[in-house]
Amino acid sequence: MKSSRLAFSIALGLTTGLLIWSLLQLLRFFAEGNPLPGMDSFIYEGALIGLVLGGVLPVRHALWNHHAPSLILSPLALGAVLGIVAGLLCFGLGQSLLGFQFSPEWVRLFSFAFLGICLGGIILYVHPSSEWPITRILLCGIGGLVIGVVIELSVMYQLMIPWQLSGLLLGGAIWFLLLGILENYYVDSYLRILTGRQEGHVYLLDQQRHSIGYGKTNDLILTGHSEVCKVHAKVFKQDGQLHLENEDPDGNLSVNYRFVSQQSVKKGDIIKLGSALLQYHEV
Amino acid sequence: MSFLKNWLPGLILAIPLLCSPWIVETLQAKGRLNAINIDSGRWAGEHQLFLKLGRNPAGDKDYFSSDDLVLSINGEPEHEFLLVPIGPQNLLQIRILLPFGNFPESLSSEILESISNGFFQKNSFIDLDFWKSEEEIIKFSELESLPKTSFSSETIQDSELSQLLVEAIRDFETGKNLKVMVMFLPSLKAGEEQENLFSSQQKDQLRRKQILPWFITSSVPPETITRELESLGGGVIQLVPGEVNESIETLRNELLSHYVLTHQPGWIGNVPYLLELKFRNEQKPVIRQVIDSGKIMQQFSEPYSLYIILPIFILSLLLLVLLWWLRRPRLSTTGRTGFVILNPEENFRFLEMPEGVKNLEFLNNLQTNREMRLSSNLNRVNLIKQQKTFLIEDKNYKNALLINRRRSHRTLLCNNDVLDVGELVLLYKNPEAPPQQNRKAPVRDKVTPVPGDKPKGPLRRDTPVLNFNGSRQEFPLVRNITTIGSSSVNDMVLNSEEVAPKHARISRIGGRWQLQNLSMQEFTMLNGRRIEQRFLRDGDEITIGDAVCRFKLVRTQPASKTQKKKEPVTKAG
Repeated sequence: MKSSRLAFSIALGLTTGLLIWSLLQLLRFFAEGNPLPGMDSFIYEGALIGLVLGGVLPVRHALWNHHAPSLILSPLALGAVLGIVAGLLCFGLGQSLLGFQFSPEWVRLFSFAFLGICLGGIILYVHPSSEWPITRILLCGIGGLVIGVVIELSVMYQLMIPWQLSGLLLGGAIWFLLLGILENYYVDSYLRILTGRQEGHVYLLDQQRHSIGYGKTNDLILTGHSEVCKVHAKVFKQDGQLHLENEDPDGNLSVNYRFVSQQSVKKGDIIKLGSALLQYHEV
Repeated sequence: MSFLKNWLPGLILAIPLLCSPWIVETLQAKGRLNAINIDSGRWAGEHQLFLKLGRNPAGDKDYFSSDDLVLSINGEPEHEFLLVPIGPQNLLQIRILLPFGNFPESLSSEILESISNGFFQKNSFIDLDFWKSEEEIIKFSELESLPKTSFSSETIQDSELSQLLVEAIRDFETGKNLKVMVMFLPSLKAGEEQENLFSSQQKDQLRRKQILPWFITSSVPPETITRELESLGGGVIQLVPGEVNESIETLRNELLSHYVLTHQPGWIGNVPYLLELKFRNEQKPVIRQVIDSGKIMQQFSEPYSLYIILPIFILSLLLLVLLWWLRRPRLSTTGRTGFVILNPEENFRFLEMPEGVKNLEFLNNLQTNREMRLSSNLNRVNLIKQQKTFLIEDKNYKNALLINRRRSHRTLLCNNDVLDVGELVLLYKNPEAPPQQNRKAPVRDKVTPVPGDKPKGPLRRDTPVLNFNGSRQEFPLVRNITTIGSSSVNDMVLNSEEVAPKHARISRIGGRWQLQNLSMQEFTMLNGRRIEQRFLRDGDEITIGDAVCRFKLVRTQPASKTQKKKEPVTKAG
């Protein structure tokens, strides 16, 4: 479970790096000169990096959980828009630092680190997580810095592949790896669906509250079960324990085959929502 | 302590963040570029260098101007450069057009020697790419009658030359090094007002592609065109008809005298430039830096073509979708009968039901990643084939075998039943077995007190009630001690397999009510927790076996209404 999550993180980081690089190159190809009047290439590159990272970072759990595309796309779009703003802000600020006797390397590093911190805030805003907001924001700052450092190093030491590509690929992979390690440590519980069409589906419990049901607004959407309500149950964390709360008017919620209206669950407990069977696990 | 525990990981992570500038600086000191930074931006004809200089020692003005500084490249005393201050302070950007040639004598002669033998052989000259081949030039020049029409600047610019340029640039699309483009023009004639051979856009393109234009012409080239070509790093050679070989020899010598070519394949002009920048009134250079020109070329590469980038872009998007798609739930059990091991250490693998299985003993031979304690005497848990599924029969009462988290001795296994065999948790999968819903399951709504056992008589207003929300039935606690169980001797009789004969007791102690568990085998739960004895509060949820009720101290309904409701019950009793 943990190692597969790390592998997924790394793969996602590499893909993101490739996506950013190809987008940068595409823009470079189409713009051929000055894309936007009065704006340096540095700033719009920052906006693009913010766009992709802001889009991908908040939805990495949604991708892992194999959410429905509609559920992935809406946070992705929100994160991407916020990411553009953050990119413009951070890289613009970095550009203005050039005037204060900072060398371009320093400016780039600062911009990347600051963008990382901003993205950390965006992740928390788009996808409210259960714990450790400070650590996560700091970690995102480090992640941004890693990308910057890797780009600088690959410029300096002339790797065989284009410097920007190598920087983005390596930096992205390291950033996502760091996040994956942190999340392996803090997001330690998940639900596993045992029956129906979604059998074997794993859902990470990475937020403070989750709602379960067949409705499209839920966090965990159960499909193909006849006796599941629109919003069937709520899951929330309290005092380090996971609590389950019934939202179904018929009260068709049971833990270990005993009907409950509110119950704390333990490792290995079988949760039954109508006809759907879930199991709670801790890593 | 909790403060430290919460913040320690953050602090640990903050340390590298704070140290990273120092780390980067240390690493940078080992790098090649220190004082001068070549901007990684676009190559627009010039090389851009960033300089960081202190304040002007003269003190009367903040910026340096190009008059204050002298730039020398490879010993050439005063090289032209453009100084652009960026920002409010002393960060300067220098734009230099680095020259080709002007290299130390020893170096260039060595290079010349190594290459001059195979000048027109393309194999030894990867980068010296002729747009027109040698044969073609000869073919043109051998024409007895050279075209009489001469080009005026206008016609060249608009039609033929621009077309030639487009073709040449397309041909040179792939490489990223210097190219010498030799074009044959039958006649170049000084027009009336011949100013420019190339438009500014074409010039820019030539510079960016690093194409050096050389012209072979049969007429005397006009002065303006010669100067223009020279400014672009090229030149003109006059071709005398009948003396083609001599002319080509001249071209060869001209090219060799103009460009220093490297012996390193793949790069041309890859000779380090020694840059020295000093103040006009000082002898010692402020900056003395060797720039590897190969590095410059690699940095100022052309944008990739759309045919490369677009597929990569689409590929990366597809990869993102693929990552999502790979996480789809996988059905490992389709159509087969067996057990899914629900212990996460076993990776939820599927265990096919062995042929002709008689009991659960086969689980003792199961290879597990972690040592697991199973129930003893698994050979006494019989599996009896019944229609398409199995009847599970536990002959050993002491076995810790639970089916759907309940102890049962004889059950027909349904699809998606959960079996606890000691520490091993199994999920029974059999699509042909009847679904779980059909089993005579204990339904919560049905487990309510037997009506006849209801206490009779008028109720006091402060009598607490047990509200069975499944049936909207209320059971008032009129006695000081109310016993609950499945046996008929109890005050409240709950007819259910899950309820023990003497299951629980609610007693009045002082002004409070206490719930006490009496059964060893079955559970009594208060608000979802298993308890032994606990005082009750208003609104508490009590679970006795599989009956759920709510304890209500203050009754919401008026007494008369409840009494009315009870009348038919008492009559029946």
